[in-house]
Amino acid sequence: MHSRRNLLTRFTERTAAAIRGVSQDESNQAPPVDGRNAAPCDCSHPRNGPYAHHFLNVVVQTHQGERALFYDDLLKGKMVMINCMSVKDEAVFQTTSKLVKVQRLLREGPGRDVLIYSITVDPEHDTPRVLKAFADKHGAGPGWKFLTGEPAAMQHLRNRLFTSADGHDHGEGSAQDCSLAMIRYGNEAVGLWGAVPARTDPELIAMRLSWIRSDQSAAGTLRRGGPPPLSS
Amino acid sequence: MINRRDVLRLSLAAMSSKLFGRGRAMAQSQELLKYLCPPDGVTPDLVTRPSPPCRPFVAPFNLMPVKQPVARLDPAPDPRAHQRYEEFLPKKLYEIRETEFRWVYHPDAPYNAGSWSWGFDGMTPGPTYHARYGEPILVRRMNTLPKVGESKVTFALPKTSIHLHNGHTASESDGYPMDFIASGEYWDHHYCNFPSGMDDREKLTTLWYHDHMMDFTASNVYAGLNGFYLLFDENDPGYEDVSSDEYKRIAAAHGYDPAKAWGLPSGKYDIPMVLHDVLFDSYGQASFNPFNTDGILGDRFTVNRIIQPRLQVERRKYRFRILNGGPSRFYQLFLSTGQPFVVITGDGNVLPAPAVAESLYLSVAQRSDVIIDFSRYRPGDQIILQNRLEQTNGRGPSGRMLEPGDGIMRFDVVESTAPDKSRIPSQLRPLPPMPEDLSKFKHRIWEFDYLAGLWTINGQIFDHNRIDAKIEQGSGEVWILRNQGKNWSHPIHSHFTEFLLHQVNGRVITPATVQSTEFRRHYEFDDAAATTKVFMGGQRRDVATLLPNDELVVFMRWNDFLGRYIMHCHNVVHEDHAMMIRWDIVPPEKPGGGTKPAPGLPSASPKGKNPA
Ligand SMILES: [Cu+2]
Repeated sequence: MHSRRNLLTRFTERTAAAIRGVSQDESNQAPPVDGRNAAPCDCSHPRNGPYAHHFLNVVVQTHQGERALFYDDLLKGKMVMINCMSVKDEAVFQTTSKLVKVQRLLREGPGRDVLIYSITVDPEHDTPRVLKAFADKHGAGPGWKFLTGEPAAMQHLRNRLFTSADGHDHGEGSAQDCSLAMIRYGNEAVGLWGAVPARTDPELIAMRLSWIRSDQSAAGTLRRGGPPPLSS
Repeated sequence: MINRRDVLRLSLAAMSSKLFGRGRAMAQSQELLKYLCPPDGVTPDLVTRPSPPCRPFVAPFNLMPVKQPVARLDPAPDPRAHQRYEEFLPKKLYEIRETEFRWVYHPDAPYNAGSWSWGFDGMTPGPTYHARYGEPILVRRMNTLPKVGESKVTFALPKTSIHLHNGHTASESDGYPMDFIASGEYWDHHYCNFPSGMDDREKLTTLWYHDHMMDFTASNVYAGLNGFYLLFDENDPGYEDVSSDEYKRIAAAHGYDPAKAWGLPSGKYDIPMVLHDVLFDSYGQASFNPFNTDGILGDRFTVNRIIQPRLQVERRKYRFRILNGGPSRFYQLFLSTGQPFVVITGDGNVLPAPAVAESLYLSVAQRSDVIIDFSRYRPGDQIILQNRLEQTNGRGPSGRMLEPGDGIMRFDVVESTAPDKSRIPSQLRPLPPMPEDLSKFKHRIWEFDYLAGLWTINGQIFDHNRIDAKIEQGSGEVWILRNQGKNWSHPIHSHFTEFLLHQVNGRVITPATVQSTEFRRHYEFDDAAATTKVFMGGQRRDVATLLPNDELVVFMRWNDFLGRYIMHCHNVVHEDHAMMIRWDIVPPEKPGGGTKPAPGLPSASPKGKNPA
């Protein structure tokens, strides 16, 4: 446990520093980290954003080979959907084909700005190349990134999305215990997040994105919302 | 199988009990918090980002005003929109606004700047409705919350569907999760205020209203969208001096027999209180973690949305209507002086006779009306209401007790201003009887479990378009509620009608059964005990608390209305992660027609525990 967190910390410090072009000595000024008792190490530059405190700014790789800081580059200020998946687990929970339909609906409507992040729970196997082939096979459109990276970084993201390998004492494999059956949807410009089961109809998933969209329309006069007349 | 976490928990518990005495349990629980909370490697928010400190028992108690009716609604309600509208024409009309405001939880900085909140008419909890059996009302709820992006409360969704918890309410007025209104819209809720099947034994007392928005119930209620709805009747008219001439006039106006009034503590001596645990950021703003699917815990205990208030009480009897408003914490409440509670209701259901209990166990959404008699104290005495149930994560209580516990609020005793005319009758209201032969009734099994990030019922997640049970109007059924989790608890609530408990883990429950021995992780019962250690509801209730591995068998009847309703876990974080089913009341089939079991139901018990 301690070693994993320390590994993760060193990893994020090093990579964040490397990305910003500063020497490791300059960036490595955080107090020594004592495993899980430590405050979360915010290893890159100061961030803001409603849930910036919740995610470490870990480096992830996309299926297109880009490197990105998870919070700064992918979440901050954006409308997103996030799911956890792996190419192997897709045999059990076919979320990707559902998301393809959702993305199609969103792109036909006012949801072209919604980004989709599919985070692999099996980074050893799901390399950017494997994920690229998987994305191409499913026809993932623009704005959809399959994310992989160092196992410690991916484990952090899973934890922060409240999925864990043995957290619910099933021990029946990753398909049972990580949140493969759930899709998060969020408007991180505001800090408004919900979750919807992946089995939900694509239309109803797309509808949720409209719920959380920032709305600048002027307030009209109060109108009746219901109940509608009963059908007799 | 004991996994690594259990081993860790057991060894830590053993170690800490050796190291610390009982008095150190508070510090100990803080220490253990770091280790016991899932997922691996994630320290809970209340350890990493604790709320700013503030002084306990300095903030004055908040008493919500009684909501007043209006003369008319413009436009008028639409009679075509409501079942049985003409039969139960509203005698009182209300309109209320859902609004955003700064709510001051405590006078100390930074809380004194206020926390952006949502509520009704500018307050949380919202105003209290005083309703009467035989007096139908209509409440027009107007969503005037700011839109997404404009709202200062950022974690909640400004779409609402207000549910009257316990209400015997037609489907279209019940706050179905998809019957929501957006900012700028209103919804008319028609409350007929008659007991199920017109049977007086089905009457209820303390109800509450709260938002039930799809996917966002936890965050919207946490933001402040809840309040009380109290039902009065001939027995419990809301007056205590029932032999007075004044009451005789009031009784006559309502058509009540004054001799039937119980004379319970009433008026300003009848006080609703809802408990919420809240986590605040460094600015004193209530914060919410939407990524936590186990359940949300706060480290500031609030009563009527005031942190650890103090209430001046006279040396006399009071009725307190105590509600666990969630989102996820369970409580076991004690008085610091050891004085027991005189319990008169469980989940809004009047008990056949008052019970005396050393502590009150309240899972989420559970209520208990209790009488506390302060006449035994002297002016200046202080009594603290304490929670001693330890909970270190959102899944349920840890099974350990805190000593002395967390202070919820304080009662400060002063001399009484007038003689106490209130009474506690030795008998209250009989419960509706349990049918003698339950085998004649349809049985359904509901298994509560976890799958891949979601909380499931019979392996399914909520689909508001899928009917999980079709129930014939006027029928009764036996439901077996089974917790498949060995490490989590689910307070299960079904709308519209009450549970009548038949069995708890094989133990047959009768109207006289009360929980008696000290509570840990299992129900234990005694019949007709003089003083029970723990009260966690009577035989009739609307929250069936499923502790780890529990199996409860309940009987229910569905009368009077048709339409779609829900049953769900009232750990509202579990509810929002889809632990909910839809059941519909359908017209009765013609004789001999028979009904097919609903899809998705197991045909037989996989564990063979089905008593049917
Ligand atoms: Cu639950």
